Amino acid sequence: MGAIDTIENWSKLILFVMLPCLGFLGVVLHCWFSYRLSFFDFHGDKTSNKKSLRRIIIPWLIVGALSAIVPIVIYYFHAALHNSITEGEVAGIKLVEYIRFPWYYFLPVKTDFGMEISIITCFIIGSLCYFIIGLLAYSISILIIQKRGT
Amino acid sequence: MSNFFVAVGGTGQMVALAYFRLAKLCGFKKSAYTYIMDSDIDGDVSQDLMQLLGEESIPVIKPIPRTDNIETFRDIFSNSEYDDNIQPVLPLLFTTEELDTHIRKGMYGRPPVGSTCLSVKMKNIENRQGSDMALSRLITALREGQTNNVVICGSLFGGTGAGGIPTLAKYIRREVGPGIKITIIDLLRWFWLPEQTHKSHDNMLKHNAESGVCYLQDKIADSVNACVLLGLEEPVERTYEEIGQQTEKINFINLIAAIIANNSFNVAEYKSLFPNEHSIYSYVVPDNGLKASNIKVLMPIRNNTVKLHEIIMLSRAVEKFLGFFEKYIYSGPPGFSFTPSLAIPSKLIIAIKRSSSEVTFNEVYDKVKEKREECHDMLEWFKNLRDSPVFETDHTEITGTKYQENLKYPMPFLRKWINGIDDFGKGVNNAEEFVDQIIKQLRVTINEMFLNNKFGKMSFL
Repeated sequence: MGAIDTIENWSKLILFVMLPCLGFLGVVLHCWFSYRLSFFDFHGDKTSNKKSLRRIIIPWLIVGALSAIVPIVIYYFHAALHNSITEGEVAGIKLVEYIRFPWYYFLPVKTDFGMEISIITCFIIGSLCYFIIGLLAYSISILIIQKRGT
Repeated sequence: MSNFFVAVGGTGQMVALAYFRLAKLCGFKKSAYTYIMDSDIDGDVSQDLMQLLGEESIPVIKPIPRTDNIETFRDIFSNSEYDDNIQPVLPLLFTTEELDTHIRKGMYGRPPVGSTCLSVKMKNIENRQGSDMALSRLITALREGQTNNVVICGSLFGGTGAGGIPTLAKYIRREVGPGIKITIIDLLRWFWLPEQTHKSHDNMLKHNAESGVCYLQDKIADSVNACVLLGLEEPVERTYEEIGQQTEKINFINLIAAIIANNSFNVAEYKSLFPNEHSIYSYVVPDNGLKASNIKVLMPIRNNTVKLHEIIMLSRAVEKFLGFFEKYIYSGPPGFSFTPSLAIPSKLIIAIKRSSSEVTFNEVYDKVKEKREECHDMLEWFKNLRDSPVFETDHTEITGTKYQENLKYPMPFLRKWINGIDDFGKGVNNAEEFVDQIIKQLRVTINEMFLNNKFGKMSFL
């Protein structure tokens, strides 16, 4: 039963630590883009070019890509986990039947399209983390602006 | 040592406008104390001068003996005790037109009127029969310093200038003594009036100018350290304007007079500018034009001379980068950003917080905008001078790929500039002082990066 716990623990690690961290890193990258306005378009010569959607999209794509490769990396680099998932069962019991919802979505546990499902799940959750942290940062930023009077 | 600029009449005030614009373009920390000598200061030129100096009032020396019970020039001689003796003599000394001059509005291009009014006034002050706050203030201030410089500027063809300048110069010399440097800058008749109806007025101006030169040569040069006469080789056409409704005449000659005033203030050795004491120096702006790149302007630092076009180059660059900065710090928060507050440079925020008073970011932004517009207006004024037939400028824009690159991508320059404001905000009382500090840093950075330090260390800022 140790293999089931390992898979569930790794899934929790992905959901609660890895993907939020990636989302946070994405927001940090976005902050840097915001601080360095000139990185995208703004050179001070026009008033309109202070806006760039790319400041949001590029960190999002990076976060999405890194989130998507998380299950692949774990699957291929964690030997015990890899063996358990490859065999598909432990002591005659099918993994997918014993791993609780939603933890079988974060690693390629399911037999059909397991890897694709986990990649999509991590991509979506990673992106969500990025936008949630981003909105949190935005709220703080607005408070700062109001306090500063700008 | 302090500098004093006495603007006499409308022309004097136009030169004062040019001088203070020049001083502002250069960013002089301390330019000159201004005094106006005119009967009427409600005109556009006086108001523009006050606006430019940001002062609600400038000390005004009224060239008339008193303000009560006086309407015409004749009234200053009203004295019940001596009326029987004076009144018959007046028509022998003055024409009817002169006697009927409404001196509360101006001297109407009549130097004998201006000169007499001021002489009577001075005499009254000496006899303690009258006073003039502004004049007393000027004399007191001049007595205080060690080697004060006074520039008295006006026209040699009007009434207040031609009549008032010599009288005022003599009075100051008598009251203050030889310790101060007095420079007179007189503009010769640089325009003519085309309308037939004003032909007589035009002839009068011509006559005034000719008599004025003789008078200066005969009587005044001894009282002053130098007397500069400045004119155009070929006077330009100008429309007639009524007294009290005169507007600023944008002509290069005002700027040249302003530069002479500036140079006499800033020259280290007065003799290097005016070698012969008590002499008259006459200059004529040639008809084929003057080039801004040939005109030297002395900075208030020993032996630091720049060319006029370099001042314009510096100011243009200041205006451009202030414009970029204005949009950078606030043209609305940046769109598509989770952290719009980060768009404002942190050093700027720290510097604002460091200021001792309640300076807010919005105030700083407003002042930046105001200063940029002010700079723009002054450059526009200079641009208008280029239409003047006697003025040419080869280039007033900094050349070189480095500058052009920075105009195209100004953010690295803006960062370099803002990073230089490390100690800013200390001892600052309001947003204007704060913005002045950062503009000073901007001038220094532009001078270092694009002008090969032509302005030196710019300690005059």
